[in-house]
Amino acid sequence: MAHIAESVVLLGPRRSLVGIHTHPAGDSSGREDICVVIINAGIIHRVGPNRLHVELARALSAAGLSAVRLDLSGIGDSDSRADSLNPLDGALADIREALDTLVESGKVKRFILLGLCSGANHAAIRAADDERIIAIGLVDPFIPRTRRYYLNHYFRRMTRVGSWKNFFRGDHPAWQWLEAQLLRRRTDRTLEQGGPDPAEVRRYLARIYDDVVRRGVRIFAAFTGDLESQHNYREQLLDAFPDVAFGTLLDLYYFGDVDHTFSSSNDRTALISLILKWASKL
Amino acid sequence: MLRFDYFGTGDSGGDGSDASLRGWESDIDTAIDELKDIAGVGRVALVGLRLGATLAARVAERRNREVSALVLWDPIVSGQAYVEELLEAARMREHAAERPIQRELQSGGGYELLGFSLPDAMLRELAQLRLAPSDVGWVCKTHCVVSQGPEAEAQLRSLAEHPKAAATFAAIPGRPPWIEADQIMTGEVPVALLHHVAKVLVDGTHR
Repeated sequence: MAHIAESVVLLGPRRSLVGIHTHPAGDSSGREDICVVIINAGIIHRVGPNRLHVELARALSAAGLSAVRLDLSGIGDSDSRADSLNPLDGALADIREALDTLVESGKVKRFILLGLCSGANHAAIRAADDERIIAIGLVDPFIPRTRRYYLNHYFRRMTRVGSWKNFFRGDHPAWQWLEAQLLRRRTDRTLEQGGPDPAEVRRYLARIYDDVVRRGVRIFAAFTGDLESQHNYREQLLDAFPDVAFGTLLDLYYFGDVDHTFSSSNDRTALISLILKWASKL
Repeated sequence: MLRFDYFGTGDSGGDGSDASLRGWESDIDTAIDELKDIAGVGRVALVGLRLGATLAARVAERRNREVSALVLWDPIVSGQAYVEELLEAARMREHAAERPIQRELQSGGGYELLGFSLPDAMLRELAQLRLAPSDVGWVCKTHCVVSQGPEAEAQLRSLAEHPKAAATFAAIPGRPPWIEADQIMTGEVPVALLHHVAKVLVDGTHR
């Protein structure tokens, strides 16, 4: 592998956001103004789950792309925000401010955002209204469940011996659901459910993805079978947002036997290889 | 204050499959030299967590004239037991991809455990690793802090209070921050324990 050079960067108006810049080691001709920004997965700091972000940044570098592994405010070495923004707005502001600093540094004009889990959600939402972002790589972003999701889900449960054992023992979720339905008659539905309205979330995300594709942003989206509670088939993104014209902008992958944090080195290698292939076409 | 990542971990160069305990001890040596150089001081304090604590104790014994204080946070007492603990934790994981994977011999053998490589060479080193006052001979100001259950607390207390170690000891129970909470990718910050370690270092009140 080519020699990889890395340096610490301090980003944002207060220089409070810490990132590790992996400089391009391979041929970067024609892509000198592009920087890949890798966003935290949940609260895991900039090295990523099982060091995924380190391996990814160094592979991108060898392929001639500049990459920054960023710590959002309050994560890793970055300071907390000085304002009172909620966590989502704070993360989105952090990303915008980090990109601002990188642009001010002179060389960078265009960005590719990559993220897993919450990082994927932040990347997609930020890309909806930032002209500088030309592509996003999303691993296990949140997408609403669909009719086919439920069919898959219940079919798999019905074909599992353990589900029937639970059913006859009275431990099956169906019994809990029935109990909840009976209780619901006597409780305030809003208080009982909590959280945002799923229909509202669906409309919000549909608008986000619609804005992203209208701007012509390329999308790499990969889903793991580990998050069965959220998604369980490759095309769920398309079915969840039928009015969004993803067309050829979208490269879609499904890793059925892979866990959410890519624990196996073979799985990480497979994911990185797909991202490199996708990025090479941009 | 200098925080660093060992070779093949975190932001540092290299791959974990090429790492060794001997190499990581040498990384601690480099960190000591670097900090002495940057800060212009003759002695430094070492703070280590789990395996880092055990390695720090070994380095402190070797470089006792340059180490002013040593804080061991839930140190690994038996390397062999630690490997078994890691294997058990990996076997308990829900997803098959997270369970122990045998690595190929030509790649150094051993396992992939909980997302990291544990090659045969490091397994052999861990099997030899033991933290004991008789062979460590803590000579600088040493403070042990334990957050785990009564068994670990008793083990560490007897080690710390051994005449050859003469270390101070504190138990601050709490959920170990290196173990993932029930929800994926979440954890708890052991605030009380961190304040305690900072106080020990700043005030030197452990003696």
